[in-house]
Amino acid sequence: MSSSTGQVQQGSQTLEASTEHGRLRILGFWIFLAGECALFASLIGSYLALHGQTAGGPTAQQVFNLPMTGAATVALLSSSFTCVLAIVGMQRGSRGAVTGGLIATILLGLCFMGFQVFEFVHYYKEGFTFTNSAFGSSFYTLVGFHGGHVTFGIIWLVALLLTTMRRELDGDLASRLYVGGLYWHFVDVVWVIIFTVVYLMGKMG
Amino acid sequence: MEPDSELMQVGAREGEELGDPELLRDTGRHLAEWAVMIFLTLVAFAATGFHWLSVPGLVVVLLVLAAVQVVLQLVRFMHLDPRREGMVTAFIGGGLGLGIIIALSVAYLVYTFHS
Repeated sequence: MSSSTGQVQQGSQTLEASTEHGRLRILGFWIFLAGECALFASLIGSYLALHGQTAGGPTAQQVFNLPMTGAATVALLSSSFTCVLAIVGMQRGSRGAVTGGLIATILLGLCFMGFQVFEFVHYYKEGFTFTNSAFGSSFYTLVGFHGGHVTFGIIWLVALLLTTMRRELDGDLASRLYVGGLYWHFVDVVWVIIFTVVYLMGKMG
Repeated sequence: MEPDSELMQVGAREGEELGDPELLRDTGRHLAEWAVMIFLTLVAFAATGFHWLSVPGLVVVLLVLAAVQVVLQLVRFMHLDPRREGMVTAFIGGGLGLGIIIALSVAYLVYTFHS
């Protein structure tokens, strides 16, 4: 049923995988995410190696604030839930669910970023900066890189929201929404690893 | 792409007509999964904050909780079905597996260099 021009698929295919172009877009994006795994792994590895090198400055146990990190985590996990509602809504052909889910995801993403900015400012005031130790450099590089991904994700979701509001929900837009959702969930997966390895294991010493 | 778009729009409209009960069912399932994730997160934070376990035991528990959350995200929220999407599973599984090897290798290399 498929062709290089993107014929419609019948049967059990969901809307985002209804054209060949859409399926290739999704497969390509999964490959990109596999590459992102290697990128974050190298940053996490560097952090694990350097987190003990505090150069007389504050340690992870002294600076990390678990309630603040916990609140940020709940916000990001909740955004993953609202994002999947948008994707399920897209698969069911409900534009209302897509726009509502995307707006909630964007707001929760902004909430997470607010926590992160507040956290970084708080740490800076405590004397824990990017330049005062290898621990500081590796921490801000890793967590900042993740924050950069969340920021990019928010911009992407805003663009998808605007597109959804002024376009029909067709196979092309569905696959764009789907890869945007995959990106957002991936950022959440990375955060699960970061809060476990960096914050929780850092706090226990 | 025009004929496709037209047919897809028809599909979307049909979905909207019969979608509500299914959408509600899916929403309920994902809500339950989200609740499980929040619960696992709270357990991880509480176990660390209140020192429920010794350090080696806590490391194991935290890694298991994180692994469960990662699998939940991949399978339930990212709709990864290893039986239907072998190639995708191979790519992301390879990426995650390579990620673990890279992280541990870099950490070991730099750690031994410093010590």
